[in-house]
Amino acid sequence: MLPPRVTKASKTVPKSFRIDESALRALEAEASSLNVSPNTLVNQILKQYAEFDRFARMISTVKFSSAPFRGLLSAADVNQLIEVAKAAGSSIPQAFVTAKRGKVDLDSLIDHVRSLAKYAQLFEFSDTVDSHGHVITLIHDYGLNWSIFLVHYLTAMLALIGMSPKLEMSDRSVIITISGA
Amino acid sequence: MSTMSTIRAATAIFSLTNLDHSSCLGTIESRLKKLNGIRGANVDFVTNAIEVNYDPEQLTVTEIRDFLRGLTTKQEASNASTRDNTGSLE
Repeated sequence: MLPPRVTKASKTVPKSFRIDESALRALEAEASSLNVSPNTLVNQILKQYAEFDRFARMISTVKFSSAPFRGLLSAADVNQLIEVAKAAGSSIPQAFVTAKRGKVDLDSLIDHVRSLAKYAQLFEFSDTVDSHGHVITLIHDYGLNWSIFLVHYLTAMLALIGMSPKLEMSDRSVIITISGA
Repeated sequence: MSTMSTIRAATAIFSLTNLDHSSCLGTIESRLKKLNGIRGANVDFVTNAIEVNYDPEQLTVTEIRDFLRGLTTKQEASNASTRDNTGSLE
């Protein structure tokens, strides 16, 4: 069992590119408004592409505003939502992590969930590791149907590696306890 | 004395998307890093998320979330005040 990834600065290396002038102007203006260097901003944009967007593209990901997403979830039939969650959980994580990491294991699947928090803002994420296993907590404000979806998505996802975690949920959270990992 | 379930690591990702001034993100990161129990924090300016490594024996994820919510609320109030003051000069 691996501990959660540690947040630390990655090694940087110098590299020259020619980029579109209008894109450079937009980057410099955005960096100035964020009060960061263009170097920091460019690095984070590239990291998002390297860690998430290029794999998300392979599974036909769409970007969508949160308000209608919340509305669609609350309007959905729960039984159909569960079926969609099960189908998605048994296929999407496998495709994503196979493309990104080359193998499907607990570490790569937890990284997938972490990526959904960081790059898709589908929930907030925390992972605590002790000698018994992982406790992963997801917090969101998309309502009970989103918690139901996540519980069934994650159950199907972890079944890919033969795991049956304990899951608890409320209308704002899902807690996954993975023992003996 | 160590227990059978010694915690080895804890990490969390919080969304700061409610901030209307993204330039405050760096301030929030530096204030969070001063909190006891925070081992590292890294703001992503592209996703408006902050990734935190912490010692769960000193801090809970709820305490970190509350601390961040408190900072963002203060920051938004400060921004609103600045906007109001700017408006009064026009």
